[in-house]
Amino acid sequence: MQAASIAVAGIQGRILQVLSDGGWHDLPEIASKADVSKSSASKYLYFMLGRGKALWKPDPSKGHGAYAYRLVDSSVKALAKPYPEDPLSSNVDLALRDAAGNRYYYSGLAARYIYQLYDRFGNLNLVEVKVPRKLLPQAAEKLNSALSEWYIVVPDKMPWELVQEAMQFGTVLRLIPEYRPREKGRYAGRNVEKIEYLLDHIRRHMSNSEYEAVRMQAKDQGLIVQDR
Amino acid sequence: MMMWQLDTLDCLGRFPPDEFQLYLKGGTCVQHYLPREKQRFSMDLDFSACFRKSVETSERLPIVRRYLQTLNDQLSRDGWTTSHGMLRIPEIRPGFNPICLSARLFEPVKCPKTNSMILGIRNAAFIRMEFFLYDNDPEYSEQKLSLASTDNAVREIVFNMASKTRLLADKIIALSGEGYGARDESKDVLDLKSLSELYGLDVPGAKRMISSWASFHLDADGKPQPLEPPVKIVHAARKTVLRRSDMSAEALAQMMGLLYARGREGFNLKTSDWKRVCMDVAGFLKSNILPLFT
Repeated sequence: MQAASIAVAGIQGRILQVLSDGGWHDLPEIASKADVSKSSASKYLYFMLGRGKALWKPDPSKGHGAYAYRLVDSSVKALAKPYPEDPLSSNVDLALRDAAGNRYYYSGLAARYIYQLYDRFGNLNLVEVKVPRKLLPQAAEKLNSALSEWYIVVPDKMPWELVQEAMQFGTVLRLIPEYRPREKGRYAGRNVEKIEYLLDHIRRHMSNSEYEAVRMQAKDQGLIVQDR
Repeated sequence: MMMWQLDTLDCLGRFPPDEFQLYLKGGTCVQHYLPREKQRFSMDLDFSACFRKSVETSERLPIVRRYLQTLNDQLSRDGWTTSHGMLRIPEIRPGFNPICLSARLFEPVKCPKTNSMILGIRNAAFIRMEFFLYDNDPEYSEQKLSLASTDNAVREIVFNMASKTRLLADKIIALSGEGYGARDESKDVLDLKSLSELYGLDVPGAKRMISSWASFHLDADGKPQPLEPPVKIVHAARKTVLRRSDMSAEALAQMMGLLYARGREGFNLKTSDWKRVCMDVAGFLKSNILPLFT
C-alpha cells in the first residue's frame, strides 16, 4: 500500500496513513498513532470494513475481543462486490472447513435460506456463521483470503446498522464466536442451527404473527412435527 | 424463478376461467404499481375469484378446482409435465375453506427445492398460488404487468390487476390481524407505505371495502360473523404498525437483506427510517382513513 496514494484529510486521513503499510494493526495502536480516540478509530475502521477496503481479524494475543485491521484498498471510491453465483456457495463451506474443521454452523438468515424458510427466491445478502471462539482468528483469515472477492467478512460486534450498510457493498459474512455443539444440526448437506433454536431466535426477535408465519411454514415443510 | 412466476400469470391470462373472474392481488400486485427501484421480492401469487351472485358459496371451491384441472389439461396438451410446468391441486381439507390452494411445479436448473405437506409437494421448486373465494368488492382492470422481471420477458403479460384502492383496503385488513392469518407484517407495512403515496387512490372507496368486508366477515366455520364497528379494523391495523415500529436493528437488517436487491430504495433503511415509515403509515391511517368512519 503506497502512502502517497492516500489523499484523505483529517482523522480518516491519519488512520489511513497508519494503515498504509499494508500490515496488520490493532485498534489501540491505530488510535494512538493517528491521535484519535479508540471509539472514532473503531467507527472509521468499521466503515472501511463495510466497504471491503479493510480486512479484520481477532487478535487474541491482545486480549479478548481485540481486533486487528489491514488496509487492502485506499482508494476513495467504494465499488460493490459482485453477487456470488450461489449466495451460499460451497466455497464458504470449504473455507470454513479449512479453518474450523466441522466445528461451525450457519445461523440466522443463512439458516432460513438452507431450510427454505423465507420468500424462497429472495436475495441472501447476509450470511451468519457460528464458530468456536478459539477458532475465530483463523476462520476470519481463511474466509478473508478465500472469499473477499464476493463477501465482506465482519465481526459479530459490528453494529447492525453498519452491517446493513455493508450489505450494499457485498454479501456480508458475519462471524459469531458462539458455537454450541448441541445447537448444531445438519440439513440439505450443510451444518446449520437446529430448527428449534432458529425458531426460538425468530420468536424472540420478530412479532408473534411473523414468528407464527415462519413456524407454520416449518410445519408445512415437515421440519417440525409438533405444535407449540 | 421470477420467469416462472411471469409464465404462470401468462398461462392463467391466456386460459382464463369461464365460470368466474380472476384478478391478481397481494404483494406481487402491489409491486406492479411501484417504480422498479422501489419493488421488493414477492413470489407467491394471490388471486381473488369473483363469482356471479347466483353461485352458491358451497359451489365456489369446486368451481375453482375444476378450472385448475381444466388448465392443467391444457398445460399437459402444451407439453408440460406433472413435475415441470403443471399445477398441483391438493386435496380439499375438511371444514370451511376460504381459499383454494394450488402450486405450479418446475424443474429449474438452479433453484431451491422444498416440501409442502399442504400442497402435497416433495423436494420441488414451485410457485404457490392462493385463490380467495370470498370477495365482496372486486375492483380490478386488465393491465400490462409491470414488474422488474418483466423487463426480461419475451412477450407482454396482460392480466387483471387489483386496483390500488382494493390493495390499500386489503393491506389494512391484513394488518388488522383479521382474515389473512399469520403473516410477515413488516412487508405489509412497507406495501401500505408505498400504496399510501400513490396517486389516484380512492380513499372513500377503500373505506367502503373495509366496511363491506367487516359486514360479510365469516368465522372459521364459514358462518357470518360481522365485525362491528368496522372502524376497529383500522384501529387494529394502526396498532400493529405502531407495534412494529420497534423492530430491532438486527431484525431490520435481516428483513432488508432478504426483501430487496442491492441498490434498491429501501435496502438501507435504518432503524430511525423504519420508525418514520411506521409513523407515516400510522399517521396516514389516523388522518386519512379513520375520519371516514365517523
